Amino acid sequence: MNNLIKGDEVRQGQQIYLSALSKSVIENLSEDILSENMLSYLHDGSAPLFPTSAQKVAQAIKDAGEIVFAICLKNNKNCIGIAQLHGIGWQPRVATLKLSILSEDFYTIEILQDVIQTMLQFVYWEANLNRVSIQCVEDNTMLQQAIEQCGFINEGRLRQEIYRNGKYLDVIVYSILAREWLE
Amino acid sequence: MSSIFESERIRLSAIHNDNIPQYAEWLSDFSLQRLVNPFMSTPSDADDLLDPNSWFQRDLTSEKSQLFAVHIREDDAFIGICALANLNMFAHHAEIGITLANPESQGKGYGREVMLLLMRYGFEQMNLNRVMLKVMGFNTRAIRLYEKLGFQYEVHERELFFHDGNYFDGYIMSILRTEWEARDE
Repeated sequence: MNNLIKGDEVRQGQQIYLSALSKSVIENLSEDILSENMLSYLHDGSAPLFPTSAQKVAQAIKDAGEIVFAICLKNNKNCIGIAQLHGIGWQPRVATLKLSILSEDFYTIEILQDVIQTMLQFVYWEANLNRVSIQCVEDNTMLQQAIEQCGFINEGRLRQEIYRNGKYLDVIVYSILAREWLE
Repeated sequence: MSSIFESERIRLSAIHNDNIPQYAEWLSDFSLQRLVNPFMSTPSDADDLLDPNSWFQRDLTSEKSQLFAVHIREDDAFIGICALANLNMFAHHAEIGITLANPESQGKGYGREVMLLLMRYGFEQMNLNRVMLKVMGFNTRAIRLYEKLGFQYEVHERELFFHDGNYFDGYIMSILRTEWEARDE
């Protein structure tokens, strides 16, 4: 069976660790408007694209009040994004994982994979959930690859779920169950 | 032009608080809850549904949902509630849901009529591009109806629900405006 993990290791990835999204962490995030590329990565379809900063995105996520972590780099402790669990159902033991990378330099497959694996470690070892889902817009091939390499199963696609740049885009839904991850 | 709110046997109307005690009593039936409540089954109480802070009253006043009372035209009997909810006004989609809670109204094909009225309302009045729904995998009667109405399978969500000691899958199904316009009826 799984090993007993000591203390903080459950929040430690390869290059990153999960930390509190504290007031000081948010204040240290950039107030510059994010690039259109980054705004597209962050876009979930609930509102049109709008110029906003990393700091404002972080504050909005914090205000939503779900389980939220700051994603910090091990080498310099800088916050590069946010990982959150939303739609948590403690009875069916389900949740949806959402990643908001806020620094373009770190929007890479390696970092995305590292964050997803670390969050799964938390979800299964600490939060005792059974099912984690994650959604990915069809044009974000980097996130798709990271999700698939972490062992998620493709469950289907929400057709024409979001509207951006004059066209509808599908959203792919993935999930991984506790027993699949423990393998 | 045909009526927006009426079909052969059904009329959609506004929800009146007078109907709520009856609805709450029907909802207290756990076998009905199995089909409409994805979460833990809990007793349902009229006072809870009438509380201004309840999910029900919030839905009633939300800009993101349109709720209707379902009545039988012949005798004006109230038989349940239906809704287009979780409206996304940018991507033009909404979630459709019906709860024909009156046990005597079941098995008479009313569900199909209500679904068609709501789908038409969504596409022709709300200008939606897609109508989607979520259904529990064991609700085979509903799934068969949705298939016949032209809904396509989008997502097979594994182990999403937990009832009576077991996990159950769910489905997300949808119909696009193009599919609605191309249907045979």
